[in-house]
Amino acid sequence: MISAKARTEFLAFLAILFAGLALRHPGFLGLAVVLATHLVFGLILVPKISGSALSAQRIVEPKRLHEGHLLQIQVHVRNLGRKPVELRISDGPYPGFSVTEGKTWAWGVVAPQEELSLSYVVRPARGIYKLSGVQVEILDPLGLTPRRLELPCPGEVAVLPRVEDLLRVDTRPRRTLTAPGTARARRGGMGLEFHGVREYRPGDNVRRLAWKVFARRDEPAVVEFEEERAADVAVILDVRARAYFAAPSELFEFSVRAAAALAQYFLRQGNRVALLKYGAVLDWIFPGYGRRHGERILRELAEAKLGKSEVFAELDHLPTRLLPAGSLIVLVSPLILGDEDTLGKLVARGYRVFAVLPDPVSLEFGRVETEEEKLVRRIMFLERWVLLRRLRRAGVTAVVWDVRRPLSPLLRRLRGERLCL
Amino acid sequence: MPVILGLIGVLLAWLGWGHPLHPPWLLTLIPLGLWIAGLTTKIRTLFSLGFWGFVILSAILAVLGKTSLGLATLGVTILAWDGLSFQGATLLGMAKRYFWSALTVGVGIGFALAALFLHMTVNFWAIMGVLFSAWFLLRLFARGAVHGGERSGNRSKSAPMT
Repeated sequence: MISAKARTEFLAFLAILFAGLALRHPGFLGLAVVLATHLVFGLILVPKISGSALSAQRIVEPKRLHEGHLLQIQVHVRNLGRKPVELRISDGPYPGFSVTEGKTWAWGVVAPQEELSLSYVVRPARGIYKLSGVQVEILDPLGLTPRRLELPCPGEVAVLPRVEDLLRVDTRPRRTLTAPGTARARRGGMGLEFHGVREYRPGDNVRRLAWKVFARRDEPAVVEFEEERAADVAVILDVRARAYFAAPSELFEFSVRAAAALAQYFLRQGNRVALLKYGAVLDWIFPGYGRRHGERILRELAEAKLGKSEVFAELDHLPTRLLPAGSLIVLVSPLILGDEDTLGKLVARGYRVFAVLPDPVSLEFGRVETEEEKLVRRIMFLERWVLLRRLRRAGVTAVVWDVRRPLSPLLRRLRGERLCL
Repeated sequence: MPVILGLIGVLLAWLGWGHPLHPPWLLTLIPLGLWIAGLTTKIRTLFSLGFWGFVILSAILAVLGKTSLGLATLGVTILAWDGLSFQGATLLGMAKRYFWSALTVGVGIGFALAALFLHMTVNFWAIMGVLFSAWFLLRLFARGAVHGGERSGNRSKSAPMT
């Protein structure tokens, strides 16, 4: 590879040579000789080492982490040849990695069987990163024709979204599965919450006798608890760029975190959880249980990006066939006027729809504002108020989340409320 | 170190000029100023511009008839120019590089003085210039082809970064 230095020197040589020939001035030609000698030596002194005489190793610790945590990367390049070689190694840069400690490059003379190392600490943004090879520059003594190689050193780092530990989300799906869980099944059975009283049948546990009812009616009765079972939950993350017009990237990050927290919560409760990313394309993870499924959902959310698509500009194309009938649909989206019609249709089809609306107003206008900003805030607030009224009328449970505060207390207060403002 | 060498280049140019208090002298500080600005701002183009400034300075000295001083200025300039490209190298690497750089400059000045002493014809210079340029370009192209092959072989097959 020809460096800018070699190019500049060669051009200077040509300029001086032509000027000398044109002016017939021997002094100029003498200057050209000095430059030519430098260039000749530059090419002759190039070290004869092949790329196979070098090997690279990258140690990434940890390979799976949540956003906000630190990632340490070490790169070692070993000289397998028989001669010392001067190297400049560099790793990255990877978009989304902000270096907090150390340097992403190192420069040194590496003796045979020795290695040149670099170490740095980064704070990565959410995403799945495919780490490419390590860039190595084999330097010649005069720096005229450095050789650049990429030593293969593939790796992957999964930076998952930050997951808030939700304590309780009080929701009741229309239909439950047969597996035990924590969703109330609207029928008597084993559970913790009181469901009702019925007449005693042979075989009923006598400990569950409702003595007061027995005394009043003069016939034995037993207390029934509400059966708790697993339910189908579909978490839908809205990735339509137009829904996040106020503060796209920041608000979207909060939405991803909310979706991750809700998916993890419902999985922890023993539910069968599916994930749908609705926006540029439809990304769907089929319903499933357990930790591995949770990890799959987190990885999918780690890769979530905002997208634009004319087809999915409205919520009309929600693939309802993919959503199990009677399931709980948890939609994380700031929503826009007009979305309420689609959500209303879902309610009419027998789904229970629960929407978490990260509030762009709280994010955008949290600070002291000018009069103009106050007016904008007021208009946005009124728009959302109208949207929420329509959602309530459509039978959708909706919460507006002030993203500066944790989500957990908001969802705990949800009990009995259909609309939180 | 490159700045000190650049300063020596400027001093040599001043010596060659013969009129130390003449205002155009201040112009000789421009290339050095460009290098200092390049070192401060890390803009590599400023290094190239400074190098061109020094080359022009050497050429002016040659035009004025101070060819030896012009050669010396260019020699010091090349040393400083090499020094600029060594920024970040280890001490061991730096010493080795300065050795080779000084040797190259010394040999180059020696060749130049010898050629000037022998009073070669313009045609000789033209032929030598063309031959050198052809050899240099061929060599670079050959190296580029070889490295291109190696690079594609070693390139990582991993997917693009997300």
